[in-house]
Amino acid sequence: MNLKINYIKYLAVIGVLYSTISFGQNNSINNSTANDTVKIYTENDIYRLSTVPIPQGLLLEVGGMTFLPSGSLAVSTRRGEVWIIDNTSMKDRRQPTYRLFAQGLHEPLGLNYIKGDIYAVQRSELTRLRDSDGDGKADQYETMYSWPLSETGNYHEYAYGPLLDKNGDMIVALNLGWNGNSESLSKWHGWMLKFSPDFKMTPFAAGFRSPAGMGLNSSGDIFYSDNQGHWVGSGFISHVAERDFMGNPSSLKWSGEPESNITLKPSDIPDTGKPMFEVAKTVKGIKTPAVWFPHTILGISTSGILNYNNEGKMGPFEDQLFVGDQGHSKIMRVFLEKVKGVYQGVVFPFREGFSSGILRMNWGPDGAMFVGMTSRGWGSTGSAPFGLQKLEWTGVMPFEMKTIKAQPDGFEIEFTLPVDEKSARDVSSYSIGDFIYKYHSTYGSPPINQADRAIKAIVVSEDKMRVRLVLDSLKEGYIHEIKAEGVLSAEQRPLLHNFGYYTLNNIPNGEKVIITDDNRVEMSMGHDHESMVSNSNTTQAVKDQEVLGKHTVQMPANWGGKADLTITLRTLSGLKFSTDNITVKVGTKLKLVFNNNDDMLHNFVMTEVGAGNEIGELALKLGVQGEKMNYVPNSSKVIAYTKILQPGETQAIYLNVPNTPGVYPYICSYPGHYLVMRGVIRVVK
Amino acid sequence: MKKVVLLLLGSIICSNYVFSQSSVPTSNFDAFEKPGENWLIVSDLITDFNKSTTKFVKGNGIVVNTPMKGATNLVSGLQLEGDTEIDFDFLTTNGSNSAVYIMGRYKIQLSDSWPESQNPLSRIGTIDVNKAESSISFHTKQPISNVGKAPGLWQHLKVKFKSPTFDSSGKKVDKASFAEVYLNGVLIHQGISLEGPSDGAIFNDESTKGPLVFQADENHVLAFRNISYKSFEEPVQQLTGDAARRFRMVNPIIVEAKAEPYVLRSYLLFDNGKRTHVISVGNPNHTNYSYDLKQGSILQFWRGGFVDATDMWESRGEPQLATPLGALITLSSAPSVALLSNSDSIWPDSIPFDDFHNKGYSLDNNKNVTFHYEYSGFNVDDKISMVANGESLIREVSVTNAPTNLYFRIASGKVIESLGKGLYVIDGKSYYIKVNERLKPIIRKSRNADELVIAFSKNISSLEYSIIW
Repeated sequence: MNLKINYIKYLAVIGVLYSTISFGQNNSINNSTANDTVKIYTENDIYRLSTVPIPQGLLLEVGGMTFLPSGSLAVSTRRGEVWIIDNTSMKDRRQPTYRLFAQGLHEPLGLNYIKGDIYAVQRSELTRLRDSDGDGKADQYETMYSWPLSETGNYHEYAYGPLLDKNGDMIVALNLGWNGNSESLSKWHGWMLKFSPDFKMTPFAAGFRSPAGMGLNSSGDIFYSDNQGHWVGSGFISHVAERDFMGNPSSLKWSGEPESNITLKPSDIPDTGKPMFEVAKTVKGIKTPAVWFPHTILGISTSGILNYNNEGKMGPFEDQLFVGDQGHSKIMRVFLEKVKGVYQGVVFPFREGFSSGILRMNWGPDGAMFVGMTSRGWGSTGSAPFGLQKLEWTGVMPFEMKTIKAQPDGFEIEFTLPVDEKSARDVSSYSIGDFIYKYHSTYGSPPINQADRAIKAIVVSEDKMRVRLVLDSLKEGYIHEIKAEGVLSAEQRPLLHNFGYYTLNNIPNGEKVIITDDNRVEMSMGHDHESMVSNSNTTQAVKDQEVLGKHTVQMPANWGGKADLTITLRTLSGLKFSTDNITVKVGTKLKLVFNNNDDMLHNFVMTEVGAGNEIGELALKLGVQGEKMNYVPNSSKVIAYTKILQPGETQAIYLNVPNTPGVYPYICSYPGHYLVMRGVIRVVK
Repeated sequence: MKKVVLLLLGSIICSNYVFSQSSVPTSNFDAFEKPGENWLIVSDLITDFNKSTTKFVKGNGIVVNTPMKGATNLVSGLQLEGDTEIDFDFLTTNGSNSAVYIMGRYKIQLSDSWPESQNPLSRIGTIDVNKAESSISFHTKQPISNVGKAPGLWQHLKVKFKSPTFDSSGKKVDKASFAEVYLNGVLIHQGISLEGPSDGAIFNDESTKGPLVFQADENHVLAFRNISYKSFEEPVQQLTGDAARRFRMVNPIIVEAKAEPYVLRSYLLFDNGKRTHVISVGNPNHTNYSYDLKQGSILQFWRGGFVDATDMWESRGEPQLATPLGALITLSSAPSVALLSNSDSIWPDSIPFDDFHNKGYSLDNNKNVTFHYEYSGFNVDDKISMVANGESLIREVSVTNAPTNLYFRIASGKVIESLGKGLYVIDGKSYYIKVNERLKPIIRKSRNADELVIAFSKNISSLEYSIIW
């Protein structure tokens, strides 16, 4: 009931906007026109995305990026090259020029210009590259520090950095290896290392899993990003300080080494599935994330971190962090605050639609953001194998939630433009809920302990820039989903992005709102848990299977103990099924075995003819509910599916092949995968 | 009756002789038709890549051709029949010209074309496809790459030969072909159809049978040994299980040095394990090597293409391995320098990771690499340079703050023979080392290997040598 009212109200609001005369707008020019409609801005109207050309044949699989004092951009690629690119701004409509500076590094995933030199981080060392004879090519590849690697030559032992910290030290982070499990296979993998100016190494924090992104905020504090995996329920960014343990216990196997300043051992970390913040209360040294990025809603593979400092020009978000995502080819925005001395804050969507998987972002000339990308080995929503793009602010002020700050009794949202008071005071404009993730050795976690929050009072500031929401209660430690779908700007525009996720590590002290008739909320609306509405048209193929059920995991009783045909599917790296083409006869009793031998979560979903993309898109929109539903939407166009399988897990399902011949797609509906991970079942007579 | 039994027995033995792994002994000429006087049996020979004279060591095991006017070919008594795999070692001398004729008809060039011959028709490994073909483009077939070695070194040829077939009226149904030919372990031909007998064949017709013929040379020494053969069946392409699951046709990623050397860091398969701190260098003249950054040792070197990097850059590149494309000569992963308590002490297998401080490398104007490292208080610069003619690599090592008991091991192998004037041939004639005698190199015999070692001293703080192959 509630959801329908919300939905209809929203439609009504939009309908009213479109049909009545209000305030004609045309970008920044404020002229009253005869135009009746209010322009609804899209991301592209505010933040313009353009592509930096790359010469054909040059595989710019970006691993690291840094601008040089001259304004040139240095890029290290996953195939070991360092290119220096001039005229990235394409001044005078000229093509940028590319020059090969270095070659043969071992998958350098980080590059930085520090104190007059270019430094790269390769798999096994921190390298300084120098061109001593001035011919434009590096001729000195100096090993500043070399660390061990697993004897198994593990591809997953990546290394990132160097980040220059506020004390002038260089920071490097080492990825855990992969052997079916995220594991620290050689010394210091899963640790963050610090190098003094004379390159003495001190390991100073542990518990990392895949620390692909690192950056300083405006206070000079170190933040890093990790992504869903073993012991990591969902992607996040976290503040890193001396002796912090970030969560994955495998790296603690080295805590006994003489250089280590951490005393936790792997056995100190309980594997209960209780939320991390609860475990952190009893195990000293565990550092919980500053901001969680709910999986599949705000990315799946959190990557580069870029602080909005005075080098950038990207709207009214100074001192906030931009965070990239490799799998979903998009960028999020984070507002951080410190409550009781601990970082916490909110993550919002910012810009999507990049051409490949985002790894690195840097401020370039004129405050533009340069985004370096690669998707080889891990498919991404942006399907290009690699790319370099530029994001620029058009100067148009977007209507966004600028910040959300925790209050003793709720949250205060600060907007970029004054709000329309009516919609801002309307409780149905908002929807608040909370949940958390499990902290356990399993790969990833579903959201747990979900609950709705009710709004008891709403206070709109006099300048109409801030709205304070008083909630029925606050759950310390939980992730709060804050949606403001109905709030309009004073000019009747909707928000460019209307939701954010606030990680409430601590509830601040301070004055609570005194509830009066002016600010009290009459009715409290439930949090909308809707997934997708079922389509009532059911095809014959679906009906055929429905007798059996879409998810039958036992041999059906009436099959006489034997399937007509057993097909086993596995995965190939790069998000592929082991076969993308299966031919079967109509009516076959099919046992489909899916063995997920990859290092990520996957499922198998067979759909109605022509419905592969539709189901994939629906799955992308499932939101927080998705995990519980195995990312299979409630659609009549789903014929059969497996659950989401852990790396290494297998499941068999039993299905009746449809009696109608045709080409039936199958996909992995895990958000973001369906574009590459798919195949077809050809049903023939 | 006895005669019949003996005949039967004989024929059974003979047929076995052809259809299982068998050798053509080179301890005497019993396995051959009576050879001309240019052919001798010896146990060893002393020669090098320059010399036009060769000394022989009495004994048996190797059949050699000596320079003689009117020298004739060596023909095996054995008749190869059907699809056969043939293996043998051969040794060229400076300027020698030779070949092997499978079934006495189908020629594979075994001339000295070291390091790279200008004359394509005499390049080592070239085969004659069709002598009747007037167009020069299709007369011969070049080897996939040049992986031949210097004169005076043992080389290996493996030929998988498919016999022509005929119908009952004697009409040819299938052409003869070389299914695979390997020179020094590297595939140089695959699936090459042969129109007919080559130039110089001893028969003009084709048949299902024929001998092995080794071409003589009137002016140069040649040597052959370890000749063996067996019948073979091409395996049916049947991948099962894991292999089937992993098989995927991918576009390979080949890395070659074009105008300048390519210096590439990767994981490397070595000695049945993966080494993780390795640099490989490919030179435009097809000499290549791999260097262990944490032991200061040259692990291997090869002539031929640089590397196949598909395992590094296809999808996630899970193996992260660069695979050399030429004929590998494998050395040792043991460090090149060692602190020994005395000149007879056992050479260490490795230096601990934390003790060996690799400092990286620098490139000269020609992109030759100098590796830098520090160990136990002394610094080493280890430079390996390309030589324009492609015959060798030059290694120059200099040490600062060398302690008194520091040694350098140039080579180790099962046998190291001194050929005089600082020239050595290593590991049973696998490759040469040329070092200045002023450095006083000594051959130590230890465990089951010979080692060529130089002692650093007040007077010797740097050394230089060539690896020639």
